[in-house]
Amino acid sequence: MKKFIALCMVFFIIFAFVQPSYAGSWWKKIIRKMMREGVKRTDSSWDDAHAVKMAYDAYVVAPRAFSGDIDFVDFDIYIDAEDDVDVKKDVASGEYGPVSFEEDALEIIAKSTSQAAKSKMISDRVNFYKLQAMSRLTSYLERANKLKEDLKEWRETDIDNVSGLSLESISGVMSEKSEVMANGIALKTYMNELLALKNAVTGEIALLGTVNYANMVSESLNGTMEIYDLVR
Amino acid sequence: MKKFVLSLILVFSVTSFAFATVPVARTDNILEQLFLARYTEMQTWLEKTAFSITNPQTLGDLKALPEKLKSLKKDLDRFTDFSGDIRKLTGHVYKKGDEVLGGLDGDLGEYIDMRDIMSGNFDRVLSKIENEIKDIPIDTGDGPETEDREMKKAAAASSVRGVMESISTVPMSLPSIETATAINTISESPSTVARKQNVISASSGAKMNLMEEYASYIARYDGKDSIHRKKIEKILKETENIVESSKEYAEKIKDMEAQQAIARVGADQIAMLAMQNVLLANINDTLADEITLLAKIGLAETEEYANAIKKSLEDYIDIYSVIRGDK
Repeated sequence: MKKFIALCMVFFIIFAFVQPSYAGSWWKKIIRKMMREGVKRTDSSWDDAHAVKMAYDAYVVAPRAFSGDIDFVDFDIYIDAEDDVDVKKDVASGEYGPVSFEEDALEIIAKSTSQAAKSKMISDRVNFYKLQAMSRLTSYLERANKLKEDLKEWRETDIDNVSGLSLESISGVMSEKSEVMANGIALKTYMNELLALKNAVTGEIALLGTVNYANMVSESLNGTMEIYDLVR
Repeated sequence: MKKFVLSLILVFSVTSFAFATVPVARTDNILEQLFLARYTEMQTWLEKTAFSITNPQTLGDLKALPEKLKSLKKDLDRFTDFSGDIRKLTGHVYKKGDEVLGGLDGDLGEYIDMRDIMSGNFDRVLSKIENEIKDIPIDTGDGPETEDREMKKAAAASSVRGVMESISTVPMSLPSIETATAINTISESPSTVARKQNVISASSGAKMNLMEEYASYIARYDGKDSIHRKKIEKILKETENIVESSKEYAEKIKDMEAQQAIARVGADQIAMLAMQNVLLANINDTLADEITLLAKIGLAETEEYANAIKKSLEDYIDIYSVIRGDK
């Protein structure tokens, strides 16, 4: 019996203090628990404060940055077909160049006293319209130069202030990256402006062709009428 | 004795099972205490070193961004004002300039050398025009030097520069130069054949001047040795260097700390984004050049436009002349 008691005691001692699987189990449990909880452990007051700061940032200071809850559709930032501008009245009023030369012709006839005077007046009137067109086109030329000048300040890119301890250095890199991306947005904005200007100047050139187009339509009509005259 | 043995077995069993059901709450074990002390030390390190920002400049770019973007908006607003001003002022400079040059007191003819014009050299006449145009009074408003007034002044200077650039592109399209050249052609042509020859030569000179303008754009953007191609090659070379540098980091990564590697790769990404910005800036310059070229093509088109207007006017005049009984 004494032997049996001694055996039991030895067995329990080994089981309680020596058995490796049991020792590993509680040790691992502590580590697992710590890993699962991460920085949210409430072992110290700093952990609590950190969790509160994170929550304040996420829900109060910058909820969009944390949740990514930005709906671009609400911004109304795309150009749609409904945004077209009605220019019918402006074109008719001559804002985009002369529409009819009837009044000019009447004025020249009324004011000219000789054939030479008439030719001079025609030439003056033609030059007036030509200079108008030239000044419009020249303004585009200088506007393009101005934009070219303005965007020079957005070309500058230097990588600095990224030094620091550990994650501070990464924060610096991220900060720099944001600046370079903002420069990219600025450059793309200028690109939009330049493309808009390009469309406008192409429109101006197209407008120049409309007088010639009218003359050609007139000639074409005359040609067609001549055919019908012959038929009649 | 039996009772004692049974009670001993019971005590050992209960304590052993109880210990197994409480896995982490114990803190009296020396190992646990050591571990928790180490853990607290680690948290302190995270707080003081890893997560802390000791240099206020680290996030300086982020702090400066709102102001920077505000300046972009301001620049665009100023550009809108500039556009409005320059449209008005350019018309004024053209009108007044042509009046000064082609008016009764105009002496432009003296500066027109037919041999120069025939070879496409308009330097003398353009120098004379520049002198006249820069003295044209432009109203930029009175009062203190406000931002608005500064913008008007910039627009005034630009309009003079723009008019000069346009005239140097299509000099023969400026009515005063055309008239002065016509008068010189008449006086320097002893016969009808010579006059026709001079007219063709002068128009060829005008064409040559325009061809030089257009060709300068082709040379800038087309061909292996063009400035455009060289810039692009440089950008690609720089990007290649950045990518190579990233590759080196990746190969050495086992010798580095992960955070250090992230910072380095991040810096490379900034450099690549910067290269994209360089490309964007070049695209913008190219677009600006395209607008200038289009405007110059448009300026040359004004001759056809003027001829079309002349024909249209003459057609109307013919109609009204018949109505009035002049014909």
